[in-house]
Amino acid sequence: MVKITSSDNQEFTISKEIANQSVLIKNMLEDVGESDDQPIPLPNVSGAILQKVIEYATMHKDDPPPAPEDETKLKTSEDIEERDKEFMQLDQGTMFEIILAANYLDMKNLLDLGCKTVANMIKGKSVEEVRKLFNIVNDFTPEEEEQIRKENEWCEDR
Amino acid sequence: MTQPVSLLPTEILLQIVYWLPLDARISLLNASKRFFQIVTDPSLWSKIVLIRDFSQSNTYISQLYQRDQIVNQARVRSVLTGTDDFETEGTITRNGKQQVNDIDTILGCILGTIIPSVGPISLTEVNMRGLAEKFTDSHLMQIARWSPHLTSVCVSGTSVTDAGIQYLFGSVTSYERSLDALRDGVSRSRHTSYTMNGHSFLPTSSHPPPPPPPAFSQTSLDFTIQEYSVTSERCTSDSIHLHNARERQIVDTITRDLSSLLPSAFMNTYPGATYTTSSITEEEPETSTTRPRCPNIQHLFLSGSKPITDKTVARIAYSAIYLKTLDLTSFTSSSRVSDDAIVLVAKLCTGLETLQLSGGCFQVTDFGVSAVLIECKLLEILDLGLVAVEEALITIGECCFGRIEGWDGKPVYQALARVDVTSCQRITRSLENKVMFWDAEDEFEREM
Repeated sequence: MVKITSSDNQEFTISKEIANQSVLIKNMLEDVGESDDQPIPLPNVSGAILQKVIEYATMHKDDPPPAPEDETKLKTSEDIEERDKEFMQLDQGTMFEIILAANYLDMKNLLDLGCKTVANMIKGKSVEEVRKLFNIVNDFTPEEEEQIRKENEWCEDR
Repeated sequence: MTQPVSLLPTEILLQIVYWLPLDARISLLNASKRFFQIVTDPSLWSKIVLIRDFSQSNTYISQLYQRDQIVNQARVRSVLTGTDDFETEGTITRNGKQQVNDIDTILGCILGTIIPSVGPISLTEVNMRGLAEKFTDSHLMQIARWSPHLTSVCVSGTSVTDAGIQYLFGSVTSYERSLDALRDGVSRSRHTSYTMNGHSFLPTSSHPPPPPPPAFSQTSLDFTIQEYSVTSERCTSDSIHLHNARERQIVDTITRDLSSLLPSAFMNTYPGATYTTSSITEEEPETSTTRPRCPNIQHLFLSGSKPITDKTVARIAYSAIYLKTLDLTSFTSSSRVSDDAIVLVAKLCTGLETLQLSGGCFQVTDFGVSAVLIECKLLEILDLGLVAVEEALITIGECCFGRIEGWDGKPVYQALARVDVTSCQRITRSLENKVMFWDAEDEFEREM
């Protein structure tokens, strides 16, 4: 078993196969050796988010190793398992924190899942809808907006 | 309370945009300055593919590929429902909801905003197949201007003309050099494997001569090809008589000036036709000189574009020294590509792996194709299939066939994997037995 602690000092004990889904933890374990009982500090991840990450890792602990990349198969953001879709039914703040945690812990599958989910939220929306969805402040000046609009009509101008 | 997505670090936002389709990227591009920078990050744009896929129930008009490796590609699509006509449809429909991003806007954004931002660094592949009149010379020029590292260009089925394609490549100076190179090559070849004897190509000394064609009349073979090895010398004479392939008539005279410019000019004629080299030699010389803008192009697909001339193909031959694929398929009988240009391609693009001349390339004959077979040792696919059968006059004859077939049952060119001679009338009439051997579902296509 492996002990990890969050930024708010919550301690979690997880199996090694779950811990190894994080490349960061796996490397740290290899560095410190298995006999070390000291918990691994994860100062960039809160306890609540670490709990969700462990939930994801547990859900996928029996997954077969990833198949070799099929170069002819095109990847899309729609390619998400149903259980993962349910897992990502979160508020935006939690979702972004999970993405950050996945990036920090070097968990590619979870990071891809988070990015795909956000991408799916953006798809099909106008620029105004995207701004509203993510609280994006339009910092273009009217002149810059006009410039972009003109550039985007490049072929129509000819 | 919604959270600002912009709090995420750039590396993660890039990964999010990676999964976005083209129209969504364009929406995000306009959201803020930061997203403008992220969406136009070169790592997200190495390929731009705008195609119409008629094999699907819906017509996919935009597919976006990212990054260099196929394994990293994410295909995203916008669906144009209903009619195939962009003019009348004009908008992209996604899940039944109309979006504002019509094809003009997408093209405008790609050409006006994205390519100028990312092109000089990363864009390597552009595929605008089937955009028809929507994609013109000015579009291609805009792409070429900003994308010097392009390796693959597909403008099949678009409105791109000679002018647009020539913009990708060098100027008249390099073109003339290519003619010099051809002359040099012809001269050198006299002492190597370019011996051609009378009406037939002979193999090199390591191969026995091909068996005589059983039902092929001498008359029909005794046409343009004399001795490739003495072409240059012949070009110094005052006039050169060309034998008509079918009627054995002298049909043309080429002046000394024209001959000196184009030593291979005498090599072919067609029944009832007067030989002309107008596509190359009669054009006004250009005054300005430009370097090739996209010298790294390896794959060039021009099928179904406006008729391409010899001059354009000559520029391609000289400038695109890494060329592996050249698709000159013409869907009409108006193709102006002749042996002259094809010989240049053969001489200068020896790494060619695929050459497609099907359709209306009626001016390409046995001679040009043979030159390709001789020079391009890496050639894997040679497509000479004709579409307009009724008008088929292509004179792919015994010479080519012998080289493709090989002698003593040993193919001369091991790399050649596929030859399509669909409806090549000369072969179908004269080499019936062999054609039957080649026949597959009425297509004379042979897997070697």
